[in-house]
Amino acid sequence: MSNPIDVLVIDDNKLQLEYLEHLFASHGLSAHLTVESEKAVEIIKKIKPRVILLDIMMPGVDGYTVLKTIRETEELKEIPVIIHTSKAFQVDQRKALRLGANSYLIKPIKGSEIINEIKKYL
Amino acid sequence: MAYVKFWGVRGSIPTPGPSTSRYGGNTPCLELNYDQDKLFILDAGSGIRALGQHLLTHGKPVKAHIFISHMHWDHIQGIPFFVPAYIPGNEFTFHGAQEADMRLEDILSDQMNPVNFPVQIDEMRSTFNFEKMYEGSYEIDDIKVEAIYLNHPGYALGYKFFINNKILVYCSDNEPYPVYPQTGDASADHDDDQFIEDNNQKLINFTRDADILVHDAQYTPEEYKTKYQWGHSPYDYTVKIALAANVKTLVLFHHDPVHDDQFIDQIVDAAKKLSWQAGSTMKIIGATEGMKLSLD
Repeated sequence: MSNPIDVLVIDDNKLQLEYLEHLFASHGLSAHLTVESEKAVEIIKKIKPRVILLDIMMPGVDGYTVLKTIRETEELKEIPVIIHTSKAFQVDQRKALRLGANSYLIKPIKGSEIINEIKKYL
Repeated sequence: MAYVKFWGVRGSIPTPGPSTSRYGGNTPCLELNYDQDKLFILDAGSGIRALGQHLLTHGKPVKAHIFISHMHWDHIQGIPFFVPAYIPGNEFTFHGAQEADMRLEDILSDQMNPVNFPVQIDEMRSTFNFEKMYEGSYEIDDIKVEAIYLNHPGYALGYKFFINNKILVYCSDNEPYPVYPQTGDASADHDDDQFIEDNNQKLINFTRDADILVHDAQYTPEEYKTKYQWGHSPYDYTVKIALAANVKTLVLFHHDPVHDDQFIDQIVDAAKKLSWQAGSTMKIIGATEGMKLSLD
């Protein structure tokens, strides 16, 4: 059986995905990246990533809904989820943590800080 | 004939009184009327009460789509006082973002719980429908409607309506995206500038070539220094976005409750000055209760 993917990134911003793909590769992390939040749960079930990096404001299905579904799904609920969003408001951070996020990173943030946060869960 | 009429222009809380009588004290509500009294209502702040009284004078059944920008109280507080919603045969379809852990209808219903209000939402005898919206493009009653996420606490949507070959954009509560909020470090090691530019550009693209842009301009730049992360814009940001998007008419909206009419005059004048200095002929108006703008 192949090793699980280190990081699954769900973000509708293609520029962000391009940047993160390069960032993870340069730090030796395997990653799967998708803009399709509607298919997020299906993808998570399939690849069982070690960590999920999740945007909030996405067309189709928002990140909060994806997070809530993960935490309510028995086989997925233990996967660490790091929110990675441009929403910097306290109320949004509290909401994400209430729904079960492990960490909350506000864009823009240094790549090194993203890597450090992810490595906490690997 | 198509027009947009402003029934509420104030942010946060109604502010009646002589010092606000010219711009108005009701919280957000716009009437978007097209194609012989087809009706879209944008937000349901306290301004929707007077809109309701106006609709009753027509003596006809009322059918409308109500677009809620977000669920903060000043954008939904008028619903219990919207009389057409109590009349059987009328029909209202609510559109808006909703929280992952709470439905749109629950949020609207909760503000009418028996402790807060003597009548419950299920006693409103018109037909209510609820449609969840995300960022994206929709077709509603043959009108193209686009939605964009705004930078505001919780969920907030801006809307773009394509009516009569005109474009109306409504972005009630919106703040510039933060710059380096965690590190304060402009030497960050990746594409931060590109990211910020990308967010700004997204809003510019959304508002591009709008005939009318209604946008948050609650603060002066000086006030914004102490209101950072409150979810609202200083007027200079609003003008900057509108200029970049080639907007024809910019309506400064969501007036701060502590700003009296004279203060809002000063904001409007300062915004016009910025626009002139940029060499633009863009029209700039302070949103005023009762104001009607044509979309013909």
